[in-house]
Amino acid sequence: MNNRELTLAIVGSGGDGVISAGEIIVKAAASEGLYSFLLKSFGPQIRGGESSCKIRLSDEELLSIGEETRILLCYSWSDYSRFIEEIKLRDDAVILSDEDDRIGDADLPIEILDSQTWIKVPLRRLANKEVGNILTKNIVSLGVLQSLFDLPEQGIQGQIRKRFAKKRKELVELNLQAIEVGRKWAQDFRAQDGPELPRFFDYEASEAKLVLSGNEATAVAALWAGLKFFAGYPITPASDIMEWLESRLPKVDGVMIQAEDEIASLGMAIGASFAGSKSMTATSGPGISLMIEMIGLAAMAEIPVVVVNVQRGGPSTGIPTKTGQSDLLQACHGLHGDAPHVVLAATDVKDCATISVEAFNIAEKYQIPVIVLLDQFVGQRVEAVLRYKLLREGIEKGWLRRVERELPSSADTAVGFHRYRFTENGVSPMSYPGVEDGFYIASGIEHNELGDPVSDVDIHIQMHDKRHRKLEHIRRDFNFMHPFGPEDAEIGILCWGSSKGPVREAMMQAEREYGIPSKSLTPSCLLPLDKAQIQEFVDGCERVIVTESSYGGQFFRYLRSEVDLPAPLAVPFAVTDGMPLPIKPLVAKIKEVHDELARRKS
Amino acid sequence: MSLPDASPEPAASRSARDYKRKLKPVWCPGCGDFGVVNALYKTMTELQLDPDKTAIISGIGCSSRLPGYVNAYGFNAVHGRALPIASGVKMSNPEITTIVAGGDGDGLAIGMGHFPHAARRNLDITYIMMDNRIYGLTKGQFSPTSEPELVSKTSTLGNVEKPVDPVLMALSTGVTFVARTVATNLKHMTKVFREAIEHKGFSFIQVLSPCVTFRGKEQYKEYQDDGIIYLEDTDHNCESFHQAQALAMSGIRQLVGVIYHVHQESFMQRYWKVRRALKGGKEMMIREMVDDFLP
Repeated sequence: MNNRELTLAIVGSGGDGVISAGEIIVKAAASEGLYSFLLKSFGPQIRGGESSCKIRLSDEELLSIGEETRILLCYSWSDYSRFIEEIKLRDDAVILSDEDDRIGDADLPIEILDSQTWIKVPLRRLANKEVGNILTKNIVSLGVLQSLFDLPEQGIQGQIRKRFAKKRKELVELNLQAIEVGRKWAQDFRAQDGPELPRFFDYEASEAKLVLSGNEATAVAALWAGLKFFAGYPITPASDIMEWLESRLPKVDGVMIQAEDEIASLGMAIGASFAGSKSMTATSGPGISLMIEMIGLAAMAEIPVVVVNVQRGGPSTGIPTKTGQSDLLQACHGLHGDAPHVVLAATDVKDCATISVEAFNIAEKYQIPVIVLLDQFVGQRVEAVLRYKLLREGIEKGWLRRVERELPSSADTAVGFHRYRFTENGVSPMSYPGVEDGFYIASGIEHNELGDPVSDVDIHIQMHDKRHRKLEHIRRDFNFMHPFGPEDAEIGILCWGSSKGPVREAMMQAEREYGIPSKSLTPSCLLPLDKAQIQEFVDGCERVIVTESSYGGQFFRYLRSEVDLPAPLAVPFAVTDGMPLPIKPLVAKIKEVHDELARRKS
Repeated sequence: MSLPDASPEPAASRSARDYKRKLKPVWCPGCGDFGVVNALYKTMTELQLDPDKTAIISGIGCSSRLPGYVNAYGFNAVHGRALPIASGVKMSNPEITTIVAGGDGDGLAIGMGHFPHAARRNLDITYIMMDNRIYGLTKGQFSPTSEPELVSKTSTLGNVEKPVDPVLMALSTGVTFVARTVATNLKHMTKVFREAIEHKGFSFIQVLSPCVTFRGKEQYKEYQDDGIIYLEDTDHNCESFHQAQALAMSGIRQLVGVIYHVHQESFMQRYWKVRRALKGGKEMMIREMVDDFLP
């Protein structure tokens, strides 16, 4: 039985090498041109503790991590007991566990079905006795997996070489031997009259794909967009962005600084932008809450800045290592005093790159703060991406540009520089320290065109108008709508951010399994929202399912405040389990809505 | 319109008037901050600072209005956050003379968390703190430097909190130039400001600046010349940390002058020292950056 797609989960303790094993598989697959997807999940422990990763491989582009797992590699049953809800097994799953697991067969945390296959592998013993090093246990198991399920052989060996060559030469040999030990065990096992196992299909290797996370895509794209200054404060799940930039920004004469807190982070970024550098910070919920006042300052002083929020489960400290989409209303409505700003959201890893560039473009062109909403699911998952698709396609085809800040003209500065001059699109000439005759006072206090503080109500209203005019132009300038599915479908789905992939997968499943067509719309620009396009979509549906990972149904409430979405038409689908939007329940929802429509018609 | 040439321009010399902006200050008649801004005009004239290459950053408060009265780039930001913003300016463009102006509430209450970090980074920023030991803009509440038992709008039965000593704090957090001066002595202020701006590193100046409106004549009198002891007239050695510490611990705020002065590498010097090998300066190609992610 050959599969064009395989889902795999690895579970163990911190020291078991769960994540390295997962990364090797994903990179191996990508090196042979396959698509792959990796989602890590940890317990709350700093070191050690339970950890797991889910992997999906295919020769077709993947929309999500998939749902139930076909293959489980379990280093320890006690660790798996913490992930039962996160890593659900298919009815035909193959489970590999260590023969010497401390937990006896009678005490397993799950019941193994007759339809499932359970293989006990002497992993620890093979590593200890055959390879002579217990630390190679995860690599031995890679050999077992490779051979049992026909995973990319060349790729795995290549990754072992690459990974360990950085450390010590002997380690390469040791680990290649570990792979062989695992393969040998698997070959002997297969030689016996064992159960039939799913095999990964006989693909043809093609050009290697890039392997990166959404956080990394955001960072690399920011660098291309011209980022020169980043200030941040460590926070899960956003720290990867600052860690990646730390050694890269200096290469373009830029600076990455770890600030004393999130308020200082955004303060520094605003200061650097005021001084002429494209600037950014990245954080998660608790940090964003601290930054809110500063975002308002950037809106008022009209300073371009990009603020990334890699959302995690809340409220308060919440579940830092899990995902969520529950900062939407805060991002859109959390600022005091009618502060115009922009909210963008990325849907997958390569979209993180596009959105990152566009965030800088909007910020620089409109002198406005831009909040970029990612979440743990899109920020920390690792995806294989076609090289051409990451930025290059957009750059070569011309739809992805890089906007540079314009200096004021000499006419602007000749008669005293009016930094906040009233203009048609609300954007005034902007200078920065170092620019001749361009000095002005940037101010969080209401000001006149010169930047001088005023409390005159007429000017206050005119300035409000000027600042808000920018939003109208942004709405017209950028199109961030992702439509999917047949236009004549009666059932529509509205979703945002990382839900896009799982939603499309659910739609395809509903079509495949029940013949129910549906269409979806995903706006990447949530503020200013293109209400007309969403209204048009809504008006073309009999039912609209609004999907999101938020306990309070924030997207649903937001949409209902922006477009006409009457109750009988709108069906909320809000889940908040810290995991990516679930596919099966959404398929069931589509079916339920379809059946209800059919009943009404008959 | 372009960035100024790197070569020095023929110096058309600037006078104090060139630094004075037309905007009328919101300060009350008799406010010490008038003296401070005048001293700043004088200092800028002495140093012939280029307004195009000078940035004055502030938070919120009476004294934080200062950037609006000076011809230079200015940023009147949010309460307590002038130091991070100034740090961003300096890190973005180290060529810019960066000055922070603010009060005791802005810098020692809401903004105190940034002080030690700005200090230990030793960015080349001059921080002028106008200390009147009261909240003026919000009309008369006690501040972190208010003395115990002070009766104010929010301490009608007397302040029960201990005051913070900004000079002692500056010393203990590693500030490389610490001084105190007094708003009633223009000459002294100018001298101290000049030394502070010329100092390559983080400099902190506490200016005793009376608030005639909420602290009355008494505070003003305290800062009159006859009550002030100038360190220049003593044998204080500002290069000695021990002497500086002892002086600060005496708690006598009438002792004014340069308290401590030491040369240390600034943040930007250290930043580039450890990253010299990385420094490229040329635009990275998208291909090069992206191919880093090939497995």
